[in-house]
Amino acid sequence: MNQDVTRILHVDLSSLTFEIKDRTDLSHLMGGTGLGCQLLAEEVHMDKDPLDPVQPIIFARGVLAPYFPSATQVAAVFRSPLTGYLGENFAGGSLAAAMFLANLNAVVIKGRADRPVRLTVGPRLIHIKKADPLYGTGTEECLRELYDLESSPGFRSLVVIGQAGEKAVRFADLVVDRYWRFGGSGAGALFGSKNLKSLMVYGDRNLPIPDVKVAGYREVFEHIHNRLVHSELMPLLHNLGTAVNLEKMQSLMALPSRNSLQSQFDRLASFTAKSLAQKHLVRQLSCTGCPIGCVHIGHYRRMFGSDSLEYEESHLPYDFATVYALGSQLGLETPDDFWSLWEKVSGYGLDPLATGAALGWLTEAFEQGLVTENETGTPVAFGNVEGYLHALDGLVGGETPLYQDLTQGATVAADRWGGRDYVTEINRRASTGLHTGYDSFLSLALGFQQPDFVHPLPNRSSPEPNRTINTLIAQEARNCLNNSLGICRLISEVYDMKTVSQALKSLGYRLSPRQLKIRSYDLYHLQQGLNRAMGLDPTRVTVPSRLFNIPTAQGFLEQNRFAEMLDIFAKQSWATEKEEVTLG
Amino acid sequence: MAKVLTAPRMGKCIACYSCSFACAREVMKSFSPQYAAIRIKTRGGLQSKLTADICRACKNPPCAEACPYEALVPRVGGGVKLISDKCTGCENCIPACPVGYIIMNPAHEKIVMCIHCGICSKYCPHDVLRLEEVDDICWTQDSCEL
Repeated sequence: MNQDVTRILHVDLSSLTFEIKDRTDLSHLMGGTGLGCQLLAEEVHMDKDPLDPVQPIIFARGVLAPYFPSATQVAAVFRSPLTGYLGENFAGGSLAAAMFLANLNAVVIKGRADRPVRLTVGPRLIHIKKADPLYGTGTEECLRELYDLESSPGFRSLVVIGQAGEKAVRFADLVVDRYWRFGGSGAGALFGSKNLKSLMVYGDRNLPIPDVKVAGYREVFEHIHNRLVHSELMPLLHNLGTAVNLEKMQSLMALPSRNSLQSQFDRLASFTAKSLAQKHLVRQLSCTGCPIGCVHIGHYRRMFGSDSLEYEESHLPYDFATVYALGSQLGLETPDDFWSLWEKVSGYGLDPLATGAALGWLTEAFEQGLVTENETGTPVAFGNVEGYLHALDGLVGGETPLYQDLTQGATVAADRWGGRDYVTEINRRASTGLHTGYDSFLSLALGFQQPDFVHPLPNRSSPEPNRTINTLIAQEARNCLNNSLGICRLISEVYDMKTVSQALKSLGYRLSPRQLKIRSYDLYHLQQGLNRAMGLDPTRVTVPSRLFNIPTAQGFLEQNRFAEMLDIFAKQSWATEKEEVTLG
Repeated sequence: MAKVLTAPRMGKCIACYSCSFACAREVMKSFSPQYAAIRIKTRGGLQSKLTADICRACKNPPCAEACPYEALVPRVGGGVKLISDKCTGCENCIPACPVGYIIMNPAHEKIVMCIHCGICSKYCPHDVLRLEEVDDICWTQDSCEL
């Protein structure tokens, strides 16, 4: 357990070679997003398209994962093919544990294989195997094949793409261990651009706890474990999951529906967390090393053909974001409609949020005659799940110029076909639907982390612009630290600075709470520096008017005030890089 | 009374591996859950029900019969006690276990064996595991360890 050494596996798919580097200059970056951003800065080609074979994708394990409860996250860091800016996605499952047991802090993949391949990484071997027959399979089928093909000792984790990634749809996700995903920035398209169908990591390293550390480590573990299991978040997240926010947002008239034309979802009664649990929930699952079990798996049963008594079934994870994006925003009538659409989205390996935004825009563009059935191949309307299923086939197949444009996201399609005002994206990023106030739109605009879960929801207030920006930056700096440590964002409040300091100390890092705070801003500046180098300019952000037409949890937002906040950010934080951030 | 570990509620298991991490950390002094004395098995990528790979506390343990060095001694209430100093890592017990529970710990070149202490059940968030009281009976013809 030498915390000074950061072990990184570099794989080049063009030359089918790999190299393991033990570096001693990176431990200040922790891991996760900090380590990932640094490696990206070293490897990225700013002058080339994000899908150029030379571009890297980096998986970096949070440095506390999986040593402590709910420290489970791995960061995928890359230049996003969807936005052109920094792509940072996080996923749990067993990936952090597998990387840890394979003795890896990070995996860097670049190049492009000349045929479809899959990559297997273990503590004693790295294999690049042919994957021709797996190309063309959806994520579910691909995972089934791989679980049978690959047995491995210890812990293993599988990361795959579906057909959307293969076709370089720029909002394709990576599916991790079936129920998790690196989502929202097009990581799946990067795999596709490299002819890489899957990554499997397994590890069986035996790592005794040094005698001198046993007592201290156990004590900190126990402290965090107790805080976590006695937190009010634990039963909430386990029993109902993030979907519990659907009702809360609806009660505040802040649950966007029908491409944000409405602020309440007409059919919510069938989609509440309680209703979904009572009728569809079959199990809850955890990331390896987390006692919560917040991943809710729903059961979907579909009859073959019509009037038959034969059924097939699917198990699909659900949460606030998927119900918001594919249910509420598309005006679906029943949970079965939602499941059938989500099954297809998941199988193709598409991002549910970006897909919801794309189909939402398509629906209104079709209604207004900007696009016709000649381009869509099907009537498209809110609530018409058959139309959406057909449209997804067209999109992934790139069947028409419209769909080819839509593979680059709703914003690009709207720029070419019209209807820019009702694209529910900012800076080509789709919202998670938790519109808590100015902060949520600003986060989208500035490339900050969006909330997946908010508890409790903020009080209604009219925030002062300077204060909003300063609070947001402080929060994002903290997010950067947590994401470098690998702490799950849903329970980050359990890990206060003092606790983090103690946890790190038990593993050999000596950082006081104050030093950690300074470190968090260093990591923030690293992240924001990359975004700036990739062209993100807060003064040039445009927000579709649609997003201001319905209330957020803090009521209606004013476009002028939002613009004022962006301006403040640009002047205070962006123009001069470091001086403006003062530690309180 | 003697106690043995059971896993009667595996339908509630959420695959958090808190039990394996607890056993590794508290008993084995290791960060590596795969060499803990309780291991959770999945099939088909979390689609089917999970299985707890635990010592089933046989009343007449075949592993003890197979050990030529008397390193595995039948335990009061069921299961065996591992006399670590006597274990040579010969692996005779591994095929003898009817449910394939026994594994080697490569760090020590000795087998991994549950001591039925129940630490894992303490960290299980969903009451999947139990440390059950059983009669203080030595089921074998030989003497048993407490």
